[in-house]
Amino acid sequence: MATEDLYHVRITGLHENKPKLLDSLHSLGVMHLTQPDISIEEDLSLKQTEGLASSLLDINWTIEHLKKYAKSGCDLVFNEISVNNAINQSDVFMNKVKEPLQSALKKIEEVDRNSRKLHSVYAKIEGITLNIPKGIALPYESDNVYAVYARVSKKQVFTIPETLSASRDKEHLMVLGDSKKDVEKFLTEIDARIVTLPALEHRPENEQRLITARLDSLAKQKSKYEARVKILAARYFKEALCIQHTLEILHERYETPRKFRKTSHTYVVEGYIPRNKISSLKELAKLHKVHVEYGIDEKAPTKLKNNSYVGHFEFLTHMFGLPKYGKIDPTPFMSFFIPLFFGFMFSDIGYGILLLLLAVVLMKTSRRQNKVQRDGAFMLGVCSITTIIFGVFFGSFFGNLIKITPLILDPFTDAKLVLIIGLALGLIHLNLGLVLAMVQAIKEKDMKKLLLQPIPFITLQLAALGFLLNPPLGAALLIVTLILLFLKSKFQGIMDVTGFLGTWLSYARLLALGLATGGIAMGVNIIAQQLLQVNVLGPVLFIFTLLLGHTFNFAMNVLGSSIHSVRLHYIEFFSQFYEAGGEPFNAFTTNKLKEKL
Amino acid sequence: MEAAGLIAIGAGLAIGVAACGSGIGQGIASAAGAGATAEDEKLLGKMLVFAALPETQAIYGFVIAILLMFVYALA
Repeated sequence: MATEDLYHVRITGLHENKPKLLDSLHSLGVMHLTQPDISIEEDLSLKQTEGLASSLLDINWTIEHLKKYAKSGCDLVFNEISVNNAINQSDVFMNKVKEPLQSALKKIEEVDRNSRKLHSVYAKIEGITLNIPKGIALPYESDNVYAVYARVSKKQVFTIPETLSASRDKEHLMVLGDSKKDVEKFLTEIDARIVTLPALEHRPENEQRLITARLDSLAKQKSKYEARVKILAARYFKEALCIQHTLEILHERYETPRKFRKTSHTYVVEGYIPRNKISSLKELAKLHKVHVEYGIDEKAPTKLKNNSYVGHFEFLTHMFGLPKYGKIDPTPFMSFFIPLFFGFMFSDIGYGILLLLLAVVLMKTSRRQNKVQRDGAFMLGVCSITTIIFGVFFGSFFGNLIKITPLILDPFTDAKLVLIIGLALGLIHLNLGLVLAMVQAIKEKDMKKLLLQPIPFITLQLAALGFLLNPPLGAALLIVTLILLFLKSKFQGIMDVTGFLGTWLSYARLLALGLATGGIAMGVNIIAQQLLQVNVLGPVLFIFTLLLGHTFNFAMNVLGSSIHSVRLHYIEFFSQFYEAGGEPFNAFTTNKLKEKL
Repeated sequence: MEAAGLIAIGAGLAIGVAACGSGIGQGIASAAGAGATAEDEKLLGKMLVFAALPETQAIYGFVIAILLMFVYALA
């Protein structure tokens, strides 16, 4: 529930021990280093980081272009290697890969550029051929001939003066004029639509055929060059990832001395370390003959401390913003209420099974390094189980596709009861938030915060209960509530009464989304049943409608139920107690699991 | 007009008008969110939650409609 307890640590040592200590700290991987406010002199480490940064840029460029064609990534393990060897390794690699990759990419770019040009000409011709009857050659200007193509109505054809007319037939008309001016004047008078023609060597349809042939040829060329990149990707991508991983870790290691304070003989490293790891640090201090001081600091970064189940929900806390150090971590509560709310809103056995399958597929296909994707898939898996459970409670299988007797109630006939259950769940959720706010205030020994923030909303609820059981007691509690809220923020505080009521009513969405899932599913089933009666095509239309309709409903309501479950936490629950704004704890470590690809 | 008809009209107006307001609000929030996500795709999750914020007003309308249909109508 609370964040991990940390110590602020200061390590003081002599310069000659610095590289070894740095390597050991990096391998231990438990310390969050902080940046001092002082500037540092340029030293050897800066040169090393420059070399590493330059190699990293090259490798990143290679990976960026190869990853589109690579089939898989790889597990990344860091093996100790010197900076010079790492840079040499990277240079050797780049010498092998850069030239053939650059050449293939250049060719692909050239083919793409030519294809774009041809597509543009093709589209222009397409537009013109809509206006020009097929089979006519487009007129072009020469030294002696002025050519213009214009569309005129049939009636206007007969208004062409004899002096201009040379021939006319059903489809086109050739007009001869003594001068360009005569023709232009006439066309303007009759308000003709002049069609601008591109410079083509052939008739439009022939030109289009030629362009299509050239485009086909370009596509083949592109495939050929892409095949070259694919071969390079298959051969070198994994190696590139490993080199990138090594370079990144070494770059971090040699960048780190910038965070040290130093004198001519000593240096000081500062940071934070979990309290249960302090013994490891002490052992390290003995080994490298450095002095370690540690103590408690309220400005420490935040490290969440949860079991493996709750840990899968931490990405939601990260998304909102981590709690400040020592404040309450809401993740354990989210790991319980999010699946509960999701199941309540989605409540369908069929959709639950589909979601479970989707979650399993996502778990299997997501990369080990992509933690957020895996956690999201795990969360969907847990939510699918609650969806099935609530589906059994409410008797829903793809709406009413298969009639199942509800174990508890049918939300369409007992909507009022479902609303009451939803609001009751909301009240429990909000009161949990208020209790957490009280715990936090008591922990901080802040009585003012305790009296003016959670207490008024508890007395408000007791007042409502009092009005039902003992009206004078209810009135007294209401007066106490109003006084406390007035003390909190004058008349604006009193408005919090309606605010709290609004927050509570917001939980009615549990019913609303639950009914929406079942309602749309039933609608799809009714339409499908109607279509089944169509002759011959009936069964096909029936299956098609069911597939399309239920897929749509599934997608919309998975999204809706997820967003609204999360929103009930971020807005309604968190507003009772949560204080975000914590700095994440980033351990200085060689064991980094990162998203690659 | 019979009471049942008036209740049905009232329920329809309650959810209909509230949903229109919510729709306009969601449109504004989603447009801004889509712009923000275009610049930084990591904001997608937050954007979805922001887009869902104005839906609360439709929920209030829905509650009124439910109360009219299932509480008042049966009373």
